[in-house]
Amino acid sequence: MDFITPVLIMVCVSALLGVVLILAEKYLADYGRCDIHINDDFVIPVEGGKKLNTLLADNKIYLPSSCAGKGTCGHCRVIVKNGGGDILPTEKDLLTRQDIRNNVRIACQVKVKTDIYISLPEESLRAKIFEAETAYIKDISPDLKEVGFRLIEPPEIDFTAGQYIQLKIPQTDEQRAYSIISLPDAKNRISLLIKLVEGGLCSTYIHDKLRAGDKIWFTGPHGSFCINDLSRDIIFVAGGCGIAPIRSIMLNLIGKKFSGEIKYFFGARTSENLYFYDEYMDLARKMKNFEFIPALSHQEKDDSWAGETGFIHETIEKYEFRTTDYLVYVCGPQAMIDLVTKVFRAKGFFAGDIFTDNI
Amino acid sequence: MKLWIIFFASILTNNIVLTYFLGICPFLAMTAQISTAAGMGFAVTFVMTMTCAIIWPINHFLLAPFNAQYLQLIVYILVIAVLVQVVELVIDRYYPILYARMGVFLSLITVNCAILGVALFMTLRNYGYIESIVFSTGSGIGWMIAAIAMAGARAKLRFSNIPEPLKGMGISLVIAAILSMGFMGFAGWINLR
Repeated sequence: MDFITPVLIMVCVSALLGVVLILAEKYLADYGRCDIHINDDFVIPVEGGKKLNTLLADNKIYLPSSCAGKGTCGHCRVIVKNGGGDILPTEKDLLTRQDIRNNVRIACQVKVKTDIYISLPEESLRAKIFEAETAYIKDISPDLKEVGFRLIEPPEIDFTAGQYIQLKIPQTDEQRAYSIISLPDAKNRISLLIKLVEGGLCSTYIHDKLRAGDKIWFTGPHGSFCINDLSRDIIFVAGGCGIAPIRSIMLNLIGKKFSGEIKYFFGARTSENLYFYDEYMDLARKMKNFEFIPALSHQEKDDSWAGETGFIHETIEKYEFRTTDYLVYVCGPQAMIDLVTKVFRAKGFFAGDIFTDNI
Repeated sequence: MKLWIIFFASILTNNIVLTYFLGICPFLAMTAQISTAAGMGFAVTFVMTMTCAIIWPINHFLLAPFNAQYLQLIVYILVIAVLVQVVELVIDRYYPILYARMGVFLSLITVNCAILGVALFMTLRNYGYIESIVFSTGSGIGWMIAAIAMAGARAKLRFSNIPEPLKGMGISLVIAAILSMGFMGFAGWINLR
């Protein structure tokens, strides 16, 4: 019966270690019941020991996020007034010094261990999870698709033009943010612009796998890239995929018979990327208060393009503005936003009049 | 063997990382900042000491009497894994900043070969209980000193002009080599074998 001995030994050792682990769980990992106080308004009782964003999502409060809680995207920001512990080194790269002074934290890094007092923007409290069905997929250009979704549950969405949703990628925990390009009046459906990113998790799925009729889930609406002041003239600047929120905001304004002046600067790489060009040119011809200024940064040699060339901030630099009393909305890659903001600031625009959203 | 010889030899002449090349992975990955290296050093020292304190009686009162020394490897690894879990819970609860900084490397102490190496050396060399504990603590401190020295050197590197092909791991390995030669200076003073 020689084989009994090693088995018995292993059983003894495992039992001993099991007891150690159970004791450790009981005394070290159990944080008991904690309360999350939100905006000094209401309280959510939760079981401590988990990450703040998970606990909020369990209680139907959805924060924007696109990295599945890995602490790399920095979208799930909350203001923690009390009880969040010290700021962690994993958060520091994602926050500016001003953020840190204002007690902004990255929710997927904050573990709830005691009662915690946080404040969330109103729009995060309005975000819900939606089930939707793919209604259509339309090719805009070889690398850009417009995808429409019909909402199933809840059947209606309330959003402001310029906001975005977070699409859950099937079979993963990850989400990606896409701006809504449809108008807020159509409450039972939304459409998104999805550009194919080489090796991108979500865009490759949508371009290769998604078919009409497929079900998807998303949370939203998120974001505060919206127009609040309708009394002033507006300059839009879009680069690459930054056209999505701007398209929604602009068409919404035009649909509402906005009487101010609209200037739209659009930076594309080549004439292939001049999405919706004909439509905007048409609008510019019909409407006196709308001006469309596209520019190509990587014009091909055999291209017959006669408009502006160079990066969009160079075009804006050349441009003379009658006054500096515009509201400026910039959406595009971060590098473009920085350059464009600098140009407008040099022209005398106020920093508070420039609104940005990076993609 | 005298205890102080075991202690100092395991720190200096028989340094676990610079002489035996065990535990190199966290030695290179966790030494970007001195504070992280020190935190990791404490965690490694703690796990090493605790492992040896628990493994010695298991080996002597459970494995040896039944002639079951062939179970050593698997039992040792189980004990190390459980200990790392406990250490992880302690650090997560009381030192969240350190926990965030160590990230995945804290769990990876489980597979840190320095710890299993120390446990196996201790068995191989037939140390008594006190000797084992002194040896494992010494080895842990040795790892920590090497890691802190490395972190200090790498902190200086940030402001020095390094040839392009050597940037990153290349220069780190060169430093590790020079560091281990520095520790060779202690050779002959005391020795474990």
